[in-house]
Amino acid sequence: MYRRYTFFGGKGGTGKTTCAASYALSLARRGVRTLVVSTDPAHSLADAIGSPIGSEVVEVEKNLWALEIDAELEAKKYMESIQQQMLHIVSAAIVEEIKRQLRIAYLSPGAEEAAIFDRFIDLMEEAGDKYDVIVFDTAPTGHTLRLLTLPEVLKVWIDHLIKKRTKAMDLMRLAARYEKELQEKLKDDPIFNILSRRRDRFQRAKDLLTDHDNAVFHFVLNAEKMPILETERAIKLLKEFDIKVGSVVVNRIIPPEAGAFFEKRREAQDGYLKTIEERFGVYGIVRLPMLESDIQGVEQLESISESIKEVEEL
Amino acid sequence: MVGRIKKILYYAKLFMFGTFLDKRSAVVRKEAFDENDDLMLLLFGDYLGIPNPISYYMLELLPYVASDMDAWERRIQNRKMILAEKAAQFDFD
Repeated sequence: MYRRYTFFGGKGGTGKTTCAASYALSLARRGVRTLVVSTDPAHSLADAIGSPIGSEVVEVEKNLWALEIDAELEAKKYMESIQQQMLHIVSAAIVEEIKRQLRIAYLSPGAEEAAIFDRFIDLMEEAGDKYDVIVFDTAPTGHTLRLLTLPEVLKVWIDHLIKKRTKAMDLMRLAARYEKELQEKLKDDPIFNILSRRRDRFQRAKDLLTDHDNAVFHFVLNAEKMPILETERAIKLLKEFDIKVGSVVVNRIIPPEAGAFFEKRREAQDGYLKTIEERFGVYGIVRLPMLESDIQGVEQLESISESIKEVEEL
Repeated sequence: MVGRIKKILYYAKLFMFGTFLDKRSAVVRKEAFDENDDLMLLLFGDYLGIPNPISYYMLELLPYVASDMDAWERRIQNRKMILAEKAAQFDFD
């Protein structure tokens, strides 16, 4: 069974993009309308698929669309929309001042992350009638986990802000009890509206991500020490935030016919494979062999799309 | 005649408002402004060097608070006599 929002994550360089792309391909070939999205700031989806992809959705083939989220561009769009909006509200002198502050914020840490997150939630919400499945090719673990746990953390913060604003406005209204026009002005509070709109958005994002029937997170790793440790930590965190962990995909397993040169590595891998079996067995393990060459282009992606389909089984 | 009574009533109302109500609402208003200043600090503290996890999302509030921004920054940075400020708030005479 495929799920509406499928994420592929894991340590850098383990083949997440390839897995995401070929899984999307296998869905598309079955007639499922699929969008594959890369949220990694260092995109490699276009390389895997073998055709140019940008910040707008492009159709790769029948039933398969692709998109690379461009953080910088998203942040810029957001800034511009604010500038546009404020032209109606404030005077020209202040506009200049705000522009300065916008530029500072644009360069501040976390801005790109937030921008990606925004687009990401937009996609998830809009997807309904356009796509049956969205496959996310996420950035290396740390970054992605922050992205996924963002709504939970921010909601707490924003709840606090709303409480404070409500109190201030209540006091203000109390003070304006005998002044009619001021009362009119206080009736509709744009700051409260914006804050609660944000909060609702975070809430919806959280609902989408923690919906076990519709959202699932697959891990891609290699049979090596570091990826195993990182995956273990990541799974623990996802559990904490109640996000469903799907399968664990072990990529680049050296096949027996690799020859004498790889014999020692193969033995080491066998050990790690056992560890993986022990630790992640409950999630279901999908094994992908190491191939003779790098995977590039739709035809080659097709070659592993049969095996990657197994992630749906658990 | 009627106009005169109306006028007197109007002034009486103003007098009552000034003597009893305005004073009280001034205290409440001060409290409201203080509360709002705190909120601004949470929203835009990063301009004063306090890290804020969602400064990016707060940008869309900027147009609505921009006109108050300068005065707020001055108020926050000049808060040397908080006690005196608080005392002034409760001057019931």
